Amino acid sequence: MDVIEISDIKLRFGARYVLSDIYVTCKTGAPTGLIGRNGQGKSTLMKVIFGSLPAESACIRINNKTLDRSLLKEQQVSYLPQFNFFPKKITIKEAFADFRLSFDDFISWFPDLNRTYSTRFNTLSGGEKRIVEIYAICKSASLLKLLDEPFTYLSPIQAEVVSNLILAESTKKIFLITDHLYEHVLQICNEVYFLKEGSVKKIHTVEELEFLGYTRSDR
Amino acid sequence: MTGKIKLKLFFRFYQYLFIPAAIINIILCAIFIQYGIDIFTSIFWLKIFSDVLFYIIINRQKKAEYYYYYNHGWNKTALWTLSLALDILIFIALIVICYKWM
Repeated sequence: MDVIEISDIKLRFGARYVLSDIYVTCKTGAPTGLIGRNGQGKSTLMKVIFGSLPAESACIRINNKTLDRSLLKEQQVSYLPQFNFFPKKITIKEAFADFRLSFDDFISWFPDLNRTYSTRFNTLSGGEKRIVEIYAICKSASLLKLLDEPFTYLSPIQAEVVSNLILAESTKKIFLITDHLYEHVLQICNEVYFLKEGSVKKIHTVEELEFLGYTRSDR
Repeated sequence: MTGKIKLKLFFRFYQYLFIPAAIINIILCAIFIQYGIDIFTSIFWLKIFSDVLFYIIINRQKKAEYYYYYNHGWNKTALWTLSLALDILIFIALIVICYKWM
């Protein structure tokens, strides 16, 4: 089992600390969820872990070994941002070649997208674009997968297939997932952290989300 | 990530700069042929100015796409350093060819 520990992350914009008290552990076989209200720093934390946003301090350990370089430089991490990030003109065939992925396997998960092989990314619908990106990130070779809002834009059936894909891949890869569609996150994640005012707290029950002001009690 | 795929990805990124930079190169070479070596310093600075302009425009348009390259081990600084270096190299090579041809 591989374990990634993320700690001592400090990041501030001006005088305000956006991230200050972070300790998150993620491991293979148990996807980890990250929940929080808008503007609390979920995407920022993911970018810091990914390595595209430099922090004042950050400590990342893989299997108790502290990394000297960022996960990005080590090529141990893949990141699904909350927006579409594939080049608009790229064909699905080219993108799959870049990520070294099998289109046949993709079709076995998403048979409805059989016709997309030679099409350009910008001609796909919003949901189809998201599925292609999620699949590419989940199936790429890196150890840690950071998924920022993977369930947004997906139909309920697509979200279910994506959940199954994440669970299947999580046996050998580490997942950190954030999404406001928190039911999906709670459904597949063994451990869930709540991010508020720059620090994280591990939560154990759905009721805690109500207590923390993330959900309403009358739901 | 193999070197071949990384190289392919670099050239995919470089395509964004290639066409506008090629148009500028053709125009500047035509000016160079017309006015000769005396104009070189001016067209060199024009070339630098156009590259800065292209950097600002492409950077704004392709902001989201950087994550595609990040996910393949490229970072923004490396992509732009290599792209601009290659572009300036092509420009200098074209000027040398024009100078010999004149």
